[in-house]
Amino acid sequence: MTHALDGVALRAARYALRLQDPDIEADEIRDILAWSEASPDHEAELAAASRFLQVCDAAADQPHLRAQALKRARHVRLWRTAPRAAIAAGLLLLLAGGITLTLQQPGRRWWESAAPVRARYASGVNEQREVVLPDGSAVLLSGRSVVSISFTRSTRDVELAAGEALFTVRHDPERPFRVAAGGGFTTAVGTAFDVHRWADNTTVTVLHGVVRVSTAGLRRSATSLLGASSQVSYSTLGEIGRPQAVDVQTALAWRTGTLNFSSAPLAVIVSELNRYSTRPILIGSPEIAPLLVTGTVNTDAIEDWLRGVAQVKGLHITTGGDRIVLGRRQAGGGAAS
Amino acid sequence: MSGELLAAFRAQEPRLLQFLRLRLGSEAEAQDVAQHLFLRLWERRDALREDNLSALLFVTARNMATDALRRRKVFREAPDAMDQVAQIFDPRPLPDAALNARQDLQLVLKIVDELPDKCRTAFVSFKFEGLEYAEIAARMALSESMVRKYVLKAVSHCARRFEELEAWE
Repeated sequence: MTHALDGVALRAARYALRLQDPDIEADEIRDILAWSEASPDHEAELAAASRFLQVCDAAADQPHLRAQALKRARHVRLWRTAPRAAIAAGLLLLLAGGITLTLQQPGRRWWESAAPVRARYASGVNEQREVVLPDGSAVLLSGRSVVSISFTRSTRDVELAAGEALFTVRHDPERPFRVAAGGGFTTAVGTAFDVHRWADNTTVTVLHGVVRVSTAGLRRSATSLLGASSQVSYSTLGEIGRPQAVDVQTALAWRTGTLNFSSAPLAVIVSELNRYSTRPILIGSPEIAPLLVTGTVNTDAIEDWLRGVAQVKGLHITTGGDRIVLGRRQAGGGAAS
Repeated sequence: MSGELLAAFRAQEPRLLQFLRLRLGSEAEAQDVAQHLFLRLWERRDALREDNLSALLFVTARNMATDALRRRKVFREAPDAMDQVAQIFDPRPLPDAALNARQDLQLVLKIVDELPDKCRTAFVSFKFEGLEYAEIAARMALSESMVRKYVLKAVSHCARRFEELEAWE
């Protein structure tokens, strides 16, 4: 090695490794931070060591990079993880299930008449409503959400006019199930997916199967295939974002009365919460609207959570009367009234 | 309890942020988790005990950072799985708060390659294969303390090299 390693660098390395221990005690964390604060040298070495370890972790997560690293170290056997095999097996099960469902369908098929079947379903504030569509598909509506359908012999057209809904689609390859929302379409053959409209965006999350998301907006047209445990968002202008892997339980936590926000602007959070809150929530000062908040809200305890947000963000909150108002902190503290 | 919680949080905030920065690798994520951590304790404020608030803040921060990193890992591993199901998939690297690009990952491997044989073996077995010091010691016919020394040397050397070379990329 070309560098002479001094005690500080080695100590920083030891501390950086310790900080990665998921069971490290609070006292040890504080001792390490105290050491880091003792001199800029300590701080810099600890930061460098931590950063390097992070990048190693990121590299170790990529199977081909991990294999590359292990190959170069002796006395090590390469072993492969099995996610590909597991996914392939899962997909086969899904297809098998779909085929069985169709074969078992009894009796005359209702949609053989020419006229489209139309219906509209709406849910109230903080209501979860499950409806069964004429083809046997199920729709779970979240709070203040609206879905309308128009089914014909060859199509199953659905529109999500507002809010969020989880669709569990009956397998029917001859009639694609297509959900229109916010300037785009999500088409599925037999699958389960969630569509969520918020602000100028629509977010599609797939639980099982594959959907095709397409837009034909003012700015551009685009198409994207989306598989299980992934999510994509598109805007009313037609831009489709990059598909992302998600934890489906977290993304669909609304089903059990919890909402997860990750760096969401306060304005968006408030408009979402208004689908669940018995009292309307308003933003009193426009400058606080873009504040980013991350958190988990229980739909039974929205007001209390907002008080917490007001505390940590230094906002003013009034809860008297028939509404909740969030505003800029006035001089002299952000107390709740 | 809400007053005490807020006071304790404000008092520890600089250190909590520093811990989260080191753990997560980005200022934005550190701020995010810090604020989320407050909200989570806020929800349970009536059940908190005053005498260990400071420790609780750090333990909660530790756990939330671990969760955030685990989610990041799932995020990164998923693309391979998705390839099986969806034929069209964006080949660009995933967004990651701590890392800019594939170059960083390749750079790390290059630097690790520079290490002397035994040092490299010990470090790679530890970091990339996830073995314990005892296991590595058995494999390499060395003492555990020797393995630990190799790992520390590897980290301190590579951390410096990474900093130097990253500036040039």
